[in-house]
Amino acid sequence: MRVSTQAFFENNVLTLQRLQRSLNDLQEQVATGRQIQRPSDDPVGSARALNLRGSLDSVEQFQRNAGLAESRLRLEEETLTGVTDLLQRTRELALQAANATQTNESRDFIAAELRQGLDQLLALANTRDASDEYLFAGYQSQTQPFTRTASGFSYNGDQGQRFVSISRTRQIPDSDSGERIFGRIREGNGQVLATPAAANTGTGTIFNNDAAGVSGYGFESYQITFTAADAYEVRDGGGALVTSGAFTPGDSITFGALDVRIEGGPATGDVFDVGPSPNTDMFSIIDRLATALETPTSNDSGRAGQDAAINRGLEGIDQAISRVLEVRTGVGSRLATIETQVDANAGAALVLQESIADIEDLDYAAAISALTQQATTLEAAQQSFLRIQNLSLFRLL
Amino acid sequence: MSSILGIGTSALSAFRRSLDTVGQNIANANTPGYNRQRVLLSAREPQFSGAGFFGRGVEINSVERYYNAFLDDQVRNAGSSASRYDTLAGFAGRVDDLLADPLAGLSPALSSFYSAVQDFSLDPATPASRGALFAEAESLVARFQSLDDQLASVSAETSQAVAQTVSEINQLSTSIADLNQRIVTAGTQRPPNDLLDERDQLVRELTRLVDVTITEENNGSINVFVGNGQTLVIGGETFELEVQPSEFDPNRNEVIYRGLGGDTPLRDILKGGEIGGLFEFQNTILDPTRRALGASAVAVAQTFNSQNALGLDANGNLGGDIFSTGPARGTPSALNTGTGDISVVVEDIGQVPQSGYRFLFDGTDYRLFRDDTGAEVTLTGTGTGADPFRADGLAITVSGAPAAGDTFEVEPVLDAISGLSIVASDPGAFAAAGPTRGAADLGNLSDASIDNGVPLDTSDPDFFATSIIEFTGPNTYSVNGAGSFAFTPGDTITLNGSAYTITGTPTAGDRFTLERNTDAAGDNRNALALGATRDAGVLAGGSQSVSQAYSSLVATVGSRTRLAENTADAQAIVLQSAETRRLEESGVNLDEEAAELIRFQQAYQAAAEVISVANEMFDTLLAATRR
Repeated sequence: MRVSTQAFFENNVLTLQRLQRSLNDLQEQVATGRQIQRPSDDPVGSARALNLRGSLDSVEQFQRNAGLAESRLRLEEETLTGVTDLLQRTRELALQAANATQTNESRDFIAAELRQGLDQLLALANTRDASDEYLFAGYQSQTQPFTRTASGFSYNGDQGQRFVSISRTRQIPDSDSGERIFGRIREGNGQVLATPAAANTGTGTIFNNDAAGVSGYGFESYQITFTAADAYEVRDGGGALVTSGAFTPGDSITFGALDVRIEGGPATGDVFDVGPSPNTDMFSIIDRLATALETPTSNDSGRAGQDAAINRGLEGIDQAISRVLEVRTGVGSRLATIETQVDANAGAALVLQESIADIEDLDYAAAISALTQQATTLEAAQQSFLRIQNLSLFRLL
Repeated sequence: MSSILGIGTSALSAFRRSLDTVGQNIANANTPGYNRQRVLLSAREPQFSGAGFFGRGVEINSVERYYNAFLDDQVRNAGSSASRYDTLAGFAGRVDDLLADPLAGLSPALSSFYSAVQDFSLDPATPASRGALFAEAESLVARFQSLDDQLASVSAETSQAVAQTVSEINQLSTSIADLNQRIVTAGTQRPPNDLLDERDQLVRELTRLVDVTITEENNGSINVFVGNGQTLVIGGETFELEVQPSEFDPNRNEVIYRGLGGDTPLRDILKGGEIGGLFEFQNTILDPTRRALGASAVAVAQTFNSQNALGLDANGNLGGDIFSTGPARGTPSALNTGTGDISVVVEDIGQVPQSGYRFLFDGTDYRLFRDDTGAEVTLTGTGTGADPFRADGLAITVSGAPAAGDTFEVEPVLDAISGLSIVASDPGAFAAAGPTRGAADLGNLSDASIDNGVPLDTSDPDFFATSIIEFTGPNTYSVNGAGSFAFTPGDTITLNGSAYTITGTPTAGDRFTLERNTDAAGDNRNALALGATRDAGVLAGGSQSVSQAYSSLVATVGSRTRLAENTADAQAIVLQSAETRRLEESGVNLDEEAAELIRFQQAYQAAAEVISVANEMFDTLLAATRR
């Protein structure tokens, strides 16, 4: 085989260039620590790394979201703890006020303390978060949710609940609307409210025997009228007679799905209303209780009215406490959800980072050994080229 | 006596010529395209005498070059492939680098844009989060545009390179034709080696630019053809390739062949060489990449805009458009004879394939053909504004009167990014809040609740009307006191263009108010939905989100580039070995020439000695006769 001088030089130059290029690629890899410099180095890996990086960005965003939701929920939880404490204190005061030994004057003191608690409760309901938004206003976060009006209290927010994404598939509310917590408490036992008419002259008070609620109750209204001190009749909302009977104090009266008890001495013509519990707000419950305590009583019938009011207040406060408890439980479980999700997200992020590293990061040991090998080859090629190109017949002529 | 002198002289002359040739070989050892030469010697015709035939010395038959047409052909083919893939790999590598650059690629910009949407949904009431989102939207647009700008400049560069290559092809054709004439003039008796070398070298250079076919004539000239038989050179004549603006787009260059039978466009015909690589790059990497990015921009803009329109902005109005994209291109050919024009609208970006189209009127029907597959796409509709032609997610409206044979170019997304902009004037335009809200009356007996409604049709004239749903029984309700509608718990109630869900069991007399959402600074319902558009499958028939589509684009361009680079490397080696084989036969080896030099030098000395002997013989003879 002939070797042309031109081909000898050209081929050697090409070989040296090729070696230098692969040396350069290796050097680039070692210098950056990445085995993929450009997508063409590993097209599938690059695309996967891009997708993984996108997922990692999402997960990191979810963690940020979770952090924010957690801080808002912690604030809500703290606030609700304060609300529960206040309501418990209010309940104790109401129980104290119910004690027969209280006088008009001592009841005034209790009422004053109740009003103080009411102001604190209102302040808690109008709590603002770190970005100065009202926590319990629903979506109307820049409107003070609860205000005192001439006729009582009004809720100016809405039922909105803001959701936060803490994973691709999971969104959780980071607050509860104030209406649900403070503004929509069913009085009585949560379903049925039994009250004496204001004009009653006797000392009869009415109690609901079904403290926990009744089944089969279809929101009917009834009126118990005493036709004599020892006889009553029950009529429904349309005025039709439902039942009637003789009465001894402490007797239970049952009609429809309901079961009530009247104690004390109702007078002839006294009326007791039994019907569906209306929604009211916590503030009104306490306000009405305080107003009842502030009203001086001078006779038994007045005392009976006041007792009924205290009783209604206590029932309402119990409903409020259980509502707050219910919301707090919800907040607690949301916090637990966040905690679980944050752990899961952190795990996912770790896996994603590892996968990205697997694809992109350089195996230094392999790269350095390849680098050394290539460098040795290049050096050998250079030296042998120098030696061989030196051999020419012309040098000997 | 004279015969020995003659023999010696002929030998002197023959060896001097041989030495000249060795010298020529040494001189051209590094001349590209040079084939080594040798002098062909033969014994002169002998002279007859009674004693037999006596030789009369040596004569030079011709000077020959070592040339193997088969090996040369291989070098030409390998050279054409090598420069095709070299060009392709070179340009592809630039697009490849661009797409995955951590600073310049689309992925990081998409990521931070959608993160800003999420941050916005966490805190919609704060101007800061709105402002940050607006800034991110601007930088997303800027990123799309910088990518498109860079691709556009690569595109301009390839157009320029095509023009440059065509002018080189024309120059080479002229030079080859010129050499043809000189070779024919030199005649075929004695080969004009250096002219042939030069022409072969020019042909090799030509095949680096474009694939050609060569035929040889008896008179020594060659004919050169490109594509599927278009003549470049025939004898001493040349036909030029021409670059002229595309019939559809004056900014794009097309190569045409001005032949005797009219103009032929060569884009799909020219293969191989630099020009083949350039066309291949434009057709398989550059245009698809620009289309994919355009489709991504349209997808981001359309999904974001349509979700934004379902919520209330900072001013409490239905959200307007945030992004706007360049319109779909529907351009009539400059060669059209009718007055027809078309307008194209992308209706469903998920259905639009990454291809351009030709839309043509054949005299009776309108027809649509895809550029990439050449397949015809079935059109529905009649092409009027009320009932446009529809196919592949596009709507095409025809106006004016096209003549039979008129064609139009349709490019659904190629101009999308150049026209991409933010049309919203301020950060307040992002719609965070849901448009409506529902509320249960405080006086309701049951605890049934209603949600805030999911918008279905914001164009409903009563969309923002306040309505009251009043239950007349657990399973019937009236709206604003009128009508009686059946209700089953769990049903959604669609009213005023929104769908509401009532949970729980309502009872007679329960009232629910549905109304326009106002003052809902903390409402993030629509902002959450905006954030969810990140993962919405909007491309590739609804199977890919924008970021998935982008990563598959990166993979496609990456593997095409890798293929081009690997093939280029392989072709370089094929070329090198073909060239080595050619040079094995035709190349100069200096050691060999050194040996030849010595050989002919010694022969020359010997021949001179012959003359000197003849001289001595002559002297001897003279001396003998003097006496």
